[in-house]
Amino acid sequence: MPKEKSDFAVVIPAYNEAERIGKVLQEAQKYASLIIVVDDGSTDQTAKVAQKFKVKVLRHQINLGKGAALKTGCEAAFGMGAKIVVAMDSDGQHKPEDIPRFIKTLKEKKVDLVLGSRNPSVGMTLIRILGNKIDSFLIARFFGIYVTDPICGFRAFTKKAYQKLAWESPGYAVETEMVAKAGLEKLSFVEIPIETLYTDKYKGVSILDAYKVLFDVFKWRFLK
Amino acid sequence: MLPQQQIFSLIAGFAIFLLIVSLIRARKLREEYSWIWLLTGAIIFIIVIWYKLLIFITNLVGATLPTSALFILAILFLILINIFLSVKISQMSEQIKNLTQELTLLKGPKRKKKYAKRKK
Repeated sequence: MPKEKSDFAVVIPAYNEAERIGKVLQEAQKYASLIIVVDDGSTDQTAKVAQKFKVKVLRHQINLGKGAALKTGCEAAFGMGAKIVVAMDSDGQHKPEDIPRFIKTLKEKKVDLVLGSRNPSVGMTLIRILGNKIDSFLIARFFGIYVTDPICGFRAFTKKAYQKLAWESPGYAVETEMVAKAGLEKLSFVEIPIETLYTDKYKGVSILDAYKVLFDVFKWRFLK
Repeated sequence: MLPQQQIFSLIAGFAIFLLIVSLIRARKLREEYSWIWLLTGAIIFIIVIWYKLLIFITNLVGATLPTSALFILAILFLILINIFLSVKISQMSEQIKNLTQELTLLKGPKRKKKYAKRKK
């Protein structure tokens, strides 16, 4: 665990990840001094497992969704004095060793946002690749921002960017909304390639979620 | 309208009225929502008593039979009720989300005074 108090926090929203979150936190501790886990109303032992580590554990009494959990975590992180937040998933698909790369890129490139970009040829199903491409295309068309992987949950942003992003999506649309808002607010960003490990095909964004996200894209563009 | 139809409709209207009153008394239905259902019971009652009104509505909506006009009105009413309730559910979901997040943050780690003040 880093001895110095850093200016960033890692926010990990978690829902029913008791089996995997321990390993994620064990690794993440090596790279961050402030880690905030938001247990989003899990029905398993996610919060208890997280409490075994030197991390701050917040718990939603009911399941609100990834977007809401991420927002709670960010509010807590910035409220505790962090200047940057790194958001990552709790299911072990993101490598905590990439955290310093996000921070370094954010600081060196002086951008508002650093977005992780997964390699579509590793572990992604064809339908997900297609969904991701459609999402990228629509966001580029409607919000003037092109990113290769708009639904990747591994990203870092500054406090200033967070205040401008101000997402409302409580669920899995949060990542797409962040990118759309980044486009609308003309926030600066870079993408960095990340490695992912897919451990469970039943978790994460389902096909139905993906269609809801596509509907949301139209909603943000035409109904707001 | 046949007498049997009138009696059945009157009983239905009265049963709805009694159900609503008992739900309000048992505090299972808030008064702010009860007026819709009391109004529904009253409308059923009025239509049964004042059959000419139903004939007028039938002509107004262009239906051939009074029963068709009743079905159209009932379906429209149910659609409106569903939209109204969906709006209420959406508002309440948003309130629950905000309350849950605030509660989580209040129970959670101490926030810097300056930030907490600014959030207010």
